[in-house]
Amino acid sequence: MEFKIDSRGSETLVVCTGRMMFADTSEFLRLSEDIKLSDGKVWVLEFSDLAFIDSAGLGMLLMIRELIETQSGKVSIRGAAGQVRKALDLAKFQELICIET
Amino acid sequence: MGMPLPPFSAVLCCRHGGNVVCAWAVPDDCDGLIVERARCPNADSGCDALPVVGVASGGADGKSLEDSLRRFGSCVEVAFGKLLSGANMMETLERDGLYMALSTATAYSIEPARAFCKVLSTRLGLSAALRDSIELAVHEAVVNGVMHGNLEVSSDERETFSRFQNYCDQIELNLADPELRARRIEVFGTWDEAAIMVSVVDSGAGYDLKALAHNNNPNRKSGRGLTLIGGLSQEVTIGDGGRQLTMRFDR
Repeated sequence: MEFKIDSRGSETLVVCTGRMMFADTSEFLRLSEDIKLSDGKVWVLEFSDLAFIDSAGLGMLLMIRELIETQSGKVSIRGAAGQVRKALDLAKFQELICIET
Repeated sequence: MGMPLPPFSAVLCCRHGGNVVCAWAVPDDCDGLIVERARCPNADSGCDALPVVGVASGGADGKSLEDSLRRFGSCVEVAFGKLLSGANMMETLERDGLYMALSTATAYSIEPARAFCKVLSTRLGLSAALRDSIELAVHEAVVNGVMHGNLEVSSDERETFSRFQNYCDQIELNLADPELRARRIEVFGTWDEAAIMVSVVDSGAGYDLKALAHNNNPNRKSGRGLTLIGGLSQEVTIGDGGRQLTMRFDR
């Protein structure tokens, strides 16, 4: 997986591309460091170009959510489709994170 | 000077304009036989010879794994001086299925489920939705087998940021262990008109499915793999003391 952080007005966009999986631990730690250093309060995880996510990727999403909420921020997911949307639905993530339709 | 080779019986195929060795009868006391070929001589559907096994040495990448599966229906890795084929190989190939046996180090570094499902999808003409479901379920089973079975890494460390680095360090440490990194993981699939069966077999200590199924905390950071597998397949069975997971996907 690769990610790019982009500030747009009041939102901080994290554009994720590729495949978010168990082996992406270093990218995940890098993203969490960037979040800690930011003063953004409204975070959007942009998944339009994310092709695949596994259960470890879902776990990392929950850790990101907790980190952002610890910093008094809010996070939502945008653009999830195909396999990624299916995995989110199966894991009932709509009850855990705001998923924009 | 090594031990003398046991006698082999060869099967010759002469359907392609010349005599070609297309199968070996391997004696019971022979540990393994490595055959490398540029192309499979068993393309003729009337040929009675046993299928040829694709062998990858020195580690396999995703492309060579996919090529081997496409051409031979199999990919068996030779890792650390050992042919990793397992007990399920011949039965799978005799049923014209797909089979792979990889080392833990290779399975961790590439995406075996992706290559497996690409070839499976081409062979069976699967819909994108069914292919996605099978790929995610097989991926989860392979990751479970590699991480918890063969590498013996617990997911408990993934629950908090403070412990996450420990989790990463433990993976690196165990991947460097010669015994753990050489452990075999098998993935194999067979099918009929109604369903596709895919199994993943690791070489770890096994686990108790009932103990794992109890963690239903919605905010847990790990332990969702089996939930996903259950939601994506029509039946899941655990065998061999928790080392074998078999999934049924209706077509």
